[in-house]
Amino acid sequence: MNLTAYSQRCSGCKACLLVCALENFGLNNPKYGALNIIQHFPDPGTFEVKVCTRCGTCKDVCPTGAIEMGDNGFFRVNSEECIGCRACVEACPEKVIRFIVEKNVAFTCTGCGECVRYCPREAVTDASGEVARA
Amino acid sequence: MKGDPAKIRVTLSAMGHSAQYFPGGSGKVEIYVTPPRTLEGILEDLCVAKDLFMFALVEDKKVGFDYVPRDGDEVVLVSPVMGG
Amino acid sequence: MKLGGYMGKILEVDLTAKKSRTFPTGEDLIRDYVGGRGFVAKLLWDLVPRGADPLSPENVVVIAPGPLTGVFVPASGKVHMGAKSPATGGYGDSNMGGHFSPEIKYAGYDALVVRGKAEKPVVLVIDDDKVSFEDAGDLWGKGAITAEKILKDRLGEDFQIAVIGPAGENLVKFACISHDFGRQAGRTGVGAVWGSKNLKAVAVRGSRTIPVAQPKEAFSKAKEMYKTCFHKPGFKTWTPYGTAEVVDWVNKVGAFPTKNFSTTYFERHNRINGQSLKERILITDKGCFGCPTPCGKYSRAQTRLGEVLVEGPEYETIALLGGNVALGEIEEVAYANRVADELGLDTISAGNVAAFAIECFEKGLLSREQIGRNLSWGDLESVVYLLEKMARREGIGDLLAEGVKVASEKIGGGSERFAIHVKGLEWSGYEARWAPAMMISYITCDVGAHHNRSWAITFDVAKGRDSLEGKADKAIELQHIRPLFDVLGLCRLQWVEIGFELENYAEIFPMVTGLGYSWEDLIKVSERIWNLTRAFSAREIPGFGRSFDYPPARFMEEPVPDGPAKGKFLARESVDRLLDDYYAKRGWTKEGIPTRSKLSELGLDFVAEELEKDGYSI
Repeated sequence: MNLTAYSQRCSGCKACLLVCALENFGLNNPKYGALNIIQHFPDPGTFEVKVCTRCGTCKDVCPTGAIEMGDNGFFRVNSEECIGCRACVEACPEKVIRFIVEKNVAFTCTGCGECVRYCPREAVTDASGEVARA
Repeated sequence: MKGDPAKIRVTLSAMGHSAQYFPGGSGKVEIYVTPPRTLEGILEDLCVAKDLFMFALVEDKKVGFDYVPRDGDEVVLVSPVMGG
Repeated sequence: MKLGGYMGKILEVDLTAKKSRTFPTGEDLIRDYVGGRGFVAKLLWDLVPRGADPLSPENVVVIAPGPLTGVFVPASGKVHMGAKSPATGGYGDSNMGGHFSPEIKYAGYDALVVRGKAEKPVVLVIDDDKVSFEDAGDLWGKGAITAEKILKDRLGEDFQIAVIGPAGENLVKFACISHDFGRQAGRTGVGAVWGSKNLKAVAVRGSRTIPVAQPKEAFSKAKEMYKTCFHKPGFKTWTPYGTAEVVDWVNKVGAFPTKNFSTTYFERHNRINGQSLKERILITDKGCFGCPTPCGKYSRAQTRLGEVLVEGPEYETIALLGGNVALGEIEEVAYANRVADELGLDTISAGNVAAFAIECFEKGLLSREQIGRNLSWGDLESVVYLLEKMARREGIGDLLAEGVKVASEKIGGGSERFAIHVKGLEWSGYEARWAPAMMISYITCDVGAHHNRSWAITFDVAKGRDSLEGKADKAIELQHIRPLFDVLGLCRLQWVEIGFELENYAEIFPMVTGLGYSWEDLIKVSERIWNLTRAFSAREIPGFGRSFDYPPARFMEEPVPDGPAKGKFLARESVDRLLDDYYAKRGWTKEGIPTRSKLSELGLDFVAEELEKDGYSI
């Protein structure tokens, strides 16, 4: 899984954010989606899509060592060790880490691929070709 | 008629709300026609008004009603839409 | 089972007192009206005092998402905006896409009710539970797009904002509400009602999760729904063009509004169609919330008056601010579109009003002195001049701001014949002289001459365009199905455009809500709402009924002069036959008022009592 964003294809619909939050937490709340859709309107009229680049900043700033790389190469937050300080949320350069209030835990992209499967525009893709749009 | 070597097989499917006005109401028919026959002519044979559709697609490419289908073509007829 | 899709409460705001409170979303309200348009209709019936002036503090604004809004279901971003209409004096509502509607749900509300009038211009800011009234003094007079940008910069990009332009502030009867730099609740003058309340904008931000009754089932069904959309043949080919795609077809069937509906075929249609938009001005597709097939097109257009960025133009704008004023280049239509959007004018009504003014000038009913300049068809300067004047109510604009019905009554000279409206609402983009099913759809539409309740022109094409047979039945069928999307809080274009099956919605509705309604049950809800909105207009408009259901004389007496529909018109006798048939099938009196027995059948006895009080024989 090699998550890659094509901003020029995005229509700003946010389906990616909803499917992300539902797949990972069963919560119908796009504010919990681990992607960042930025709109530049009215001028110049473009969308910008940010996804996890696996840069590791979150792991570096976590004071309890709750964030570790998983088998698939994406970081995971250990909910037992997360103290809810939100240091990772603040530090993430792409602003794609969320804090899930209901679970009191930070959430980083798990590489589940659901955004790739359900982005109607193929604006989020898997460059490795393992995952494709449904 | 199936099996008639002089005929070609064409599948017509209607996309959108005009599908309900297709024979049988299913929005899809498979027919055998003697070529060359235009799409307009085929629709006439089926008693379907061509004005029910904006245009047709063959292999995702737009074609007009003067298009002459080839054997095995799957023609998609696109219903008009309304604005918001 | 616990209900899902609902947040459980409604926010009521009193602008006069600058106070707000919440009340629970009633079980009866949910059971009988479900949401969205249903909530708008019932809350307006309950809360608008009988006989209220639409532009007085007494009028009530209701803003309602539906139970599926903001939920993972394709295209769940629609909101219904209602008020007693200043254009018609009767029931008024308008539907808008974008991201405003889901945000209301995430903030925790099933509807917003706004009453009273602020002393000075305000922005209503709703940030989850926190409700505040921010001074809008510096925004008053600013264009809708400009004001939205200022508010985004001030409050934060994550606020979703609905805003009015100068037209709303100046109480123009066809002022719209704008959102997301190009989405509008355009019709029935809802923007003027906001203006009358000194309400410049509503900004909403929410952080909550929407509960879902059967989360696993609904999630899996929704995934299947998206996947089905992705694999419809039109998914790839329709989306790039959006609603502009239909321009050529409407011309082909002789239904395109041209030069104030004097004819129905515009020879320059291929300069203002979907292909022109895509090849000449498109920057990006712009989708509403959760939309698999975004019809929104964001464009950059260069004209001799300058360059504009605009969302659109979509079909209705191309029809009314294109063909109807004879603008023959997509760039010019885009320019007029942007001017109207910034001023906060409904492009449908504004296009009608501009065309009406040009025809009045041509016929010598309005002079150069009265107007302040010469007007001509196909002239961008004329159109922009008129839009500016009407939005600011300057000079002739003060009269034009009343809409074509009132303007024609004042101008006289037979101009009523070509004032193209029903009930005071200007006609949208499908001329119907040779389309009886479309005609009965337009004249019986609850808010006036609007297409989106029933769009039946293909039924005319399929069943014979000269025949009146079965046309009323089709209009009624569609008047129940199509507004149901406005009840659920969804967009209907996936169904209309790419043939996405209705069964999908029937299947996911109970999974999300926990309400065990079948599709037939939902259609019954839709019929209940239809009768209630009709009754609202009967309650509010003295002598309401049949006489309000006729098209302009142009459509009944003037044969179409050229094009595919040449020679066609729908004589008054035919209109009468359609109306008789329609009323009978609806269970309404010959005067077009719902009967007591029909109202009883729908659980609307309380409505029957009110109508009887008003002296209607039902």
